[in-house]
Amino acid sequence: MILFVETHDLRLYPGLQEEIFALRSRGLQSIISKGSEKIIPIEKDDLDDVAPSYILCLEEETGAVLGSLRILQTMGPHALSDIVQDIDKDEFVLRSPCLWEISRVCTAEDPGSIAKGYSPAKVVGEMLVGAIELARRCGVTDYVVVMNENGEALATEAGLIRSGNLGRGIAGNGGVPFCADVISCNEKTLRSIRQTSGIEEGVWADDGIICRFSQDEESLPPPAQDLPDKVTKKDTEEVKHRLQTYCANQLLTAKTEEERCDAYRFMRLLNRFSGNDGHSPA
Amino acid sequence: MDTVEVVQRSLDGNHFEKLLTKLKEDMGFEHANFGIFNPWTKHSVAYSTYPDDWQEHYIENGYHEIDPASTVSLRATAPQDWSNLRDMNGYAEVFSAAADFSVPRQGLTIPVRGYLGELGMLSVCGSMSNREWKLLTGDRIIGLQQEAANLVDRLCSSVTPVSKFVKPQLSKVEKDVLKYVGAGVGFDEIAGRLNISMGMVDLCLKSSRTKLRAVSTPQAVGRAIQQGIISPI
Repeated sequence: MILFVETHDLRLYPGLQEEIFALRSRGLQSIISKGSEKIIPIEKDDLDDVAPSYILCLEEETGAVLGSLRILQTMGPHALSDIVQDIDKDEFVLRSPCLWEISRVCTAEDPGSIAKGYSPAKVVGEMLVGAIELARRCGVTDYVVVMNENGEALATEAGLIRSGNLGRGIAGNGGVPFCADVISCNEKTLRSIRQTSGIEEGVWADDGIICRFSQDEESLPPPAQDLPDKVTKKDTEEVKHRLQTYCANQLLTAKTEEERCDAYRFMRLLNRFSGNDGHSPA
Repeated sequence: MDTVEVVQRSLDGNHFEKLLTKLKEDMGFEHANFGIFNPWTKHSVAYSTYPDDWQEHYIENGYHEIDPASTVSLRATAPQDWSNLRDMNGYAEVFSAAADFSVPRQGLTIPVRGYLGELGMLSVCGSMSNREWKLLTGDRIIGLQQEAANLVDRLCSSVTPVSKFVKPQLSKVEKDVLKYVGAGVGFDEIAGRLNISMGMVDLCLKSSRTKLRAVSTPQAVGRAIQQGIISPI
């Protein structure tokens, strides 16, 4: 089950970003610890502070994060622009509005999830299918994928068609081997990943599942035991304000005359019961 | 959004507004709006084909700080259709006010990043049926992405808005290296003339590109000359 999370969505999923960084640290531990035995709990770099987006693979029953990858526009700062010199001394950086970058591909190697059919390669396959389908909707024609050796192996196992038109290198002072490749966001690439990974159905999480994992305070009603024993005037005013905002929203977004009439009718009813229209409440 | 500077018209505002007018007419939209926000200096600049009275009302009421078409889209990666923002804070207030100025409710905002991470966005809107809107935006999405990129680079490289952002401060060595590169002097000769190592030449060029927001050394030389930082030899 795939979820696309933008920066403004993170408020709906408290702790999710930390879970992503913790997952990445487990997947990249051997690299980021540079051979020492010290366990580094999170893996985060400067690009996580420039409002990237993430594609996550969630376990359907528990919502546990099984895999994640990061998406950045190549128009702005991105991983490849920092390390392109290590591939090619040519100064030019890949930069295009129709080219996004995928980086920090990682999976959780959880035996329980693997037993349920979520092998690391399948997780990567689902995330790539989600990323490509998203790109096609957004007018993006290609991705440049920056991967370490493990990510590269999983992507190949998932059926990713590689162009091989970038290269390999060793990045940074830590000497991390990586590869970069451009993949096309077309039907052929999608078909290859779906067939190889055995993904037959849609990968996207539906709204019903989202509500279970989201904690938007405005969307979830309070549990019964949390309701106050006594409703104060402040509570009433707050609810009234929310309802009025809701009514204004309904009126504004009404597409047909019928919807508009219903919105007006509800607004009049609300005013009547709150005593705003001169009639006493029923 | 932490914007503290009110959007201003710059000396080259007419140029950008002409670009937006051409864009909306060529692509079949009613209005187009482009803005860029520097997350470090908190400055923003915006150009629009919206009616002047709506623009004034928008700024006077601080809508740029609550309008989800701006606050959400600026930090997004994917295009944001305004219909998906209805449940966001600020939507009802801003869009009900916009209706008073006949600004359409249907819109799409394309977020685009500047080379150093500036946050830009191109918005288009129109009045038409949902089906027509979906067909139009689906057909134009690639063109809109390209136009957004074109606008963000133009705005980042134009002289007047740059002065509102971080002014490039190049060291003497960086300026000397750029000057010699612009004159066609080879890197080894530059190193010899300035009595520095080849590694230092490389480092100066890399930092100059970053400071001048250039994707290549020739572009860095061009911008440095344009902004009067170096003079051609």
